[in-house]
Amino acid sequence: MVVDLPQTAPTATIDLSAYRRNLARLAARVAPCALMAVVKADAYGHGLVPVARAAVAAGVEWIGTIDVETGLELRRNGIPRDVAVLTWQLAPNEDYAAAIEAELDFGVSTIGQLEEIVAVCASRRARVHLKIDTGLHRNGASVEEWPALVARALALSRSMEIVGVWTHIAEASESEDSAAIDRFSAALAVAEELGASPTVRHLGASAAAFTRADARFDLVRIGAFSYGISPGDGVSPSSLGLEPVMTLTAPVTAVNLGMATIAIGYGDGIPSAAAGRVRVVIDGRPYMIVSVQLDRLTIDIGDATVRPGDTAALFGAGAHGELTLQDWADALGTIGEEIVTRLSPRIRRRFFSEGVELNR
Amino acid sequence: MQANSWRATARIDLAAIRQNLVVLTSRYGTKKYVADIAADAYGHGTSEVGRLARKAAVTVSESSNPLGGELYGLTRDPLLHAAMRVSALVIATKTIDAGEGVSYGYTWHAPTRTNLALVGIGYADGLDRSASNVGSLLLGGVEHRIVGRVAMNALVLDLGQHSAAIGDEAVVFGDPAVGEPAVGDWAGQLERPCAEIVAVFGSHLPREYRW
Repeated sequence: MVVDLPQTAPTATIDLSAYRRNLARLAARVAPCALMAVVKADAYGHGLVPVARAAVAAGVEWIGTIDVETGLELRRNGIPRDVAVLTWQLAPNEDYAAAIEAELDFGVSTIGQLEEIVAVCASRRARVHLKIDTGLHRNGASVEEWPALVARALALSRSMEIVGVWTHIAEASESEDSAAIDRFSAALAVAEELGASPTVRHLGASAAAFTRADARFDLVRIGAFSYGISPGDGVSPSSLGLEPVMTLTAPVTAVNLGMATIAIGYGDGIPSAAAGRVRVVIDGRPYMIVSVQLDRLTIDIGDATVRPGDTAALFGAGAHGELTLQDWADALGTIGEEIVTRLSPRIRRRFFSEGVELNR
Repeated sequence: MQANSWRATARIDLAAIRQNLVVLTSRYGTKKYVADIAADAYGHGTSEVGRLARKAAVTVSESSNPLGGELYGLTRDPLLHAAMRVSALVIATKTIDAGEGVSYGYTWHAPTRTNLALVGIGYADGLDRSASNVGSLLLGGVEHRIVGRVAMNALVLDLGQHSAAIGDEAVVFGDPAVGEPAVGDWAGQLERPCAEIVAVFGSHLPREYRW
């Protein structure tokens, strides 16, 4: 979607209809497994609250935010209690009381975290998802620690409910992911033997959930793919049936001696490494970025006619000749997630649904 | 954005900026010097830096100029001091055996049994993914290398035989006078301008001001 209104500042236009279509396609793909919409990092830079609301409107019953603060923000903004909100990066002195009252779910890796959760006075049971490390080696209990973690959570069942058992996998290779899935299944067997009966078992994120039925279990956690961000290596969003959700544009502010200035720079999150590697598109024609400065970038327009006030498209769905996020990621040797999440929160986000702009 | 304020912080030393203003106004003249506060004052906060400039009777501009980074101590000038310090907390620790992989894609495998620290900062906070297996953070007075891929909100440090506790602070860059890495070291390693590093961290991390 390209917005034709004149602009004076960089703008990220978020097509919530495309987001919902992606969710619907992904939900159909993984059915009967449920889908968690992951909205960490300000919904991958797309704007937390409007994206989460769109997910709920699309029928999603699970939302993943990384931290408790974001989960509380979602509840304050009307994400209903019957939608579970999973948080898993838990602070050393987390305020669990408020989080339990807000009915947030906690991804728990250690007995210490269980003890902190039960230490607070709450009027309801805490909802926990016990995490096993299946090889990624970030958080999660080790195989050795796992039985004690499960046993402790069961012993505390007056104060907490084991809603889930889960893990993250490395997506390193088919065989290594298979090994992680086997470790997860073994951990589930241990938990069940100890008496746990979690409602949801979850392991897969976008790529594994999309490609492997055996990575789905009861629930998959979908971030990147819901925003139309593909894994790269030749796999485009369209080849997966997905649409990019964000279009990034900025105005031309000056034209001089075959160069034009665009009002967006590395202070807005455009990588300085884009110079000489990426083109922006104005009226369907591409122009190479020759330098990126703090608050502007310069493009080489040769003898083309470009005027101040023209709108330059940095990336989008590609329908108007603009590059896609995947083009940027490939040119910069990174992934689309890094490019969208580093965009400054100061960049204005505009949200459209069915072609109509939403008031925030 | 104030999410995750407990786990990673950009601390802004306004005293350093005030001192830099003194140096720069005496160098260029109070009337001629223009404080560059583009891009939210290079991620340091337009309102806080603007207030300091006005107190010093210095004109401010929201359009960047090539020497603008001097105010934030982003040049090699020994009279000017960097004002931003970026740090994050350890959120988990573990020990892994030789041969085990770490983080997405297993781009690093432990050569020997080793201790790891999971630190709550990642590329969505402005810590470049290209620092994966390259950059180091200062933790417990020792620089420890980032191993495996930097993720969106976390990274892993290889501590070797050292250890760390949950809640310990790891420094990305800060004050070289107290032995912390300089922002220029971090920027140089990633081949990015210092101004880009501080502007991006400053726009994503919660800022904590020192007066």
